[in-house]
This record gives sequence, structure tokens and C-alpha cells, in this order.
Amino acid sequence: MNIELRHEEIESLLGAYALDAVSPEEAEAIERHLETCPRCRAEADAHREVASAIGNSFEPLPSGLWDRIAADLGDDPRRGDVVPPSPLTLPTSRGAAPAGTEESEDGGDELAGARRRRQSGRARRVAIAVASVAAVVIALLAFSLSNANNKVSQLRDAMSGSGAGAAASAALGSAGHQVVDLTTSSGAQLASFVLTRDGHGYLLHSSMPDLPKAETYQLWAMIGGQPISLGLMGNSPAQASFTVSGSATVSALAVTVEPAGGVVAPDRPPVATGKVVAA
Amino acid sequence: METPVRDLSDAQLAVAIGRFRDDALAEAYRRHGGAVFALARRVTGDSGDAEDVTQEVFLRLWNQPDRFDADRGSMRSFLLAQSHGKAVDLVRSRTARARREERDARATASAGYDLEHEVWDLAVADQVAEAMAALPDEERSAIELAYFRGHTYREVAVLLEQPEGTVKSRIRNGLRRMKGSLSESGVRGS
Repeated sequence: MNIELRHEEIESLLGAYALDAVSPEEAEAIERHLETCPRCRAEADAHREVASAIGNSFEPLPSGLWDRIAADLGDDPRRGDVVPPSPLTLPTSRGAAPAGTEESEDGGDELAGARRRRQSGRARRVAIAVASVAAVVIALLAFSLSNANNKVSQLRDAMSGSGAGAAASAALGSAGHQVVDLTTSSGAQLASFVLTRDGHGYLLHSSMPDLPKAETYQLWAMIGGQPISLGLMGNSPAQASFTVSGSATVSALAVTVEPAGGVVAPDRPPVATGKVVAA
Repeated sequence: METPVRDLSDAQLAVAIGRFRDDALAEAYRRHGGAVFALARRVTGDSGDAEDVTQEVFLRLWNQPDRFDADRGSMRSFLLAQSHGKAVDLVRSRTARARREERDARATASAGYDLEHEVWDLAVADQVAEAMAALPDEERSAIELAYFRGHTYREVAVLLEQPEGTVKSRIRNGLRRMKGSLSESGVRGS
């Protein structure tokens, strides 16, 4: 059924339309109108962006879901040869292990499984790891993190051979950098990071007290409302760096105290947090 | 040599998907699948439904990549809108069925409690949650009932015992207010 709505009626419905809260008939009428009215289209787009910000969160993807999707793509002859995806570098079951130790335990098994699937019978099909926990990390971040307790070699990738101090200094000199202070709930400053506009972060200084050996500090980025592990900082953090890649917008950094191996998702309140101002 | 999909922007990914590169679709899934699934699950309250929605959303992106217009918003936002629309369709068809089946049963439980707990405490980004919290109550509850519960504005009007016109403007004003405060705090649309 086609209905006609006046301009003012359409306008009044744009918010509800962006939330999919109008009837199918109204939606149809609005869409017809949007084709010819740039002003209403701009307003509807703006409402949609807000709606998606409200609805933006993250959950680990069920394993096997991608395979279902891929199976339905069909074999279109126009498709070019599929370039196999580059090896995934991050997926560890813990989502928080230091760089260079990927493929530990079950996270590694998941990946190996994904590779086997890719090699067996689905050579042209892209396989991606959909391991539930691994996906949390893979989706948004590449990280590299080190500290005084870990091997210095882990810093190399992030620092391009220079010392951590030099990298942090360079970051402080870069255009558009920001310094994020992590403070406790009582307002005491525990650590500061410098973030560059292209997503690199370096620990500037820390007054985090040493922890027992069985515990570690773990650094998190709040992305889309979800804590995403940036890595373990050890029990006596002195140096740390990370890289946030992709389209991730980090709204805050947080530090928790966790068992030495780190955790997939924090279940304790953070000991310190700091807000990140979007670029 | 083709650029690795990892290095492509979302807009470039859409172009590559249009050229039937399924590695580009895989990359889009890798970047946005978790958010698409999470929203569908929140609206439908069911993982199986959410999987179906996610599958549909990405198959649609594969078959009709032109529907994504980078000038009109981010890919994340586009995919979330698709996910929400399909999830709401599912909820409504389920609700309609349940209504037919339980015509004489008591009225549906009122919305609100678990919504606040499930949604606002856990899943929404700090600034978004803050901006929502700063909304006048009547605007916030209208948006919540419509967006996360999948109600039409007419149903929201009944639930809140308010005129339809009032609900329409509360939703619209609330979204405008959100846009204002999100821009202020530097949050872009996802």
C-alpha cells in the first residue's frame, strides 16, 4: 500500500525511521521522499549514525558462521582469484599474550584449524579465524607490548630498533599526539601514555606499584564500549607500547590487575583509567 | 600486485567486494562482524537469530555492495543499520505470531529493567552511555523501547501512554541531542 506524506510529516518521522520504528508503508514513503530531498536525507543519515553509535558493541563471533556465509557466496566466474589472507598475527586464546607468542594453546589450535580448513577443499575460499575469543582481538587491534620483565626483542617491531624512550619522545613530538593520564578512582595518577594520531601508544611513565609474581597489570582499550586487551604489562611496568589499527576508535584506556597469564575479559574493576579524546 | 585487504579502507573494501573479491568480504566480516552480530543478538535476544541476521547482512553486502555509500556514513554504521532492520523484522514477526497465539493472554511485560542492565552497564561506550544518560528520561525511554526492543513509535506511544506525535518528536529530539553531545565529546558515529 502506497501512502503519501507531507514534508512536515516526513520530517517528524525521521528519528523514528532511523530506529526502524515506523510502519513499512511509512518507511516506503520516507524513502521515496529521501531520494529527492537532500535536507531530509542528511538528517536521516545523521540519525542513523547516532543510532549506530548507540548500537555499537562487540561480541565474539560464533565459530562456523563465516563458513556458512562463504558457502553461500556462489562461484561467480567474474570473481578474480582469491588472495589468501595474510597470516593472522594475534590470535591467542588469552587475547593478551605478549607479541611474538601467538598461537598459544587453544587460540593457536583454532588458527591451525582455520588454516587446515583453508587448505582442505576450500582453497579458493577465504578462511578466517572465527575463534570466539581470538576474534575479539583480531577484529580491531594489532598490539605489541613489552615491559621490563619481558624480552626487549619484543619491543623491536613497535620501536623500529630505537629505544622505547626515543619512540616515546618522537611520539611526543608528532603532530596531533595526545597524552592520556591513567588515574585511580580517587584521582591519583598511576601512569601516562602518549598516543600518536596513527594509533601508536607508548608508556611515558608509571608509578604503578610492583605486584606479586603471580599477578600482572593488563592494559585495555575501550573500543565500541568493549574492553579490548592491548596486552600484559607485567608486574613491574617500565616500558610498554601498542598499536591500535583499523577503524578502531579508542574511547579510553584502562589497567586492571590480573593473574600472571592475563585474562580474556576483565572481571575486576580497573585500577586506573584514562579517557582518550577522539581525533 | 593487489593491495592486501588489510590495508584497504572500508570504502576500498566495498569496491573490492564489488569486484567479487571474497577476501575483501572476509575482511569486512573480520572488522565489523562482531558488531553486527552483537546488535542483532541484543535486539532479538537469541544467538541463532543473530547468526541468521549476520549471515544475511554480509550476503547482502556481497550481492549489493553498491548499497553502501561511503559519502553517507561509515561501513560500520551501514552494516549496523542493516543488522538492526533485519533483527527488528524478526522480532516483529515473532511478536505478531505470539500475539495471535496468545490473544487472550495477559499484556506483554513492560520493558525497561533488564534493558538498562544489559545494555547500558555493559555494552555501550562510555561517552555514548553518558550522552544517553544525559537525555531527558522521556526521550531516552522512547529511544530505548524503539531501538533495542524493536517497537514502532506507535507501540512506544501505547507503552508510554503518550500521544504518537509526542513520541515521534521525543525520538527525533533525543537523537539530535545525542548527536550534539557526542560531537562535543569527540565521538564519531561508529
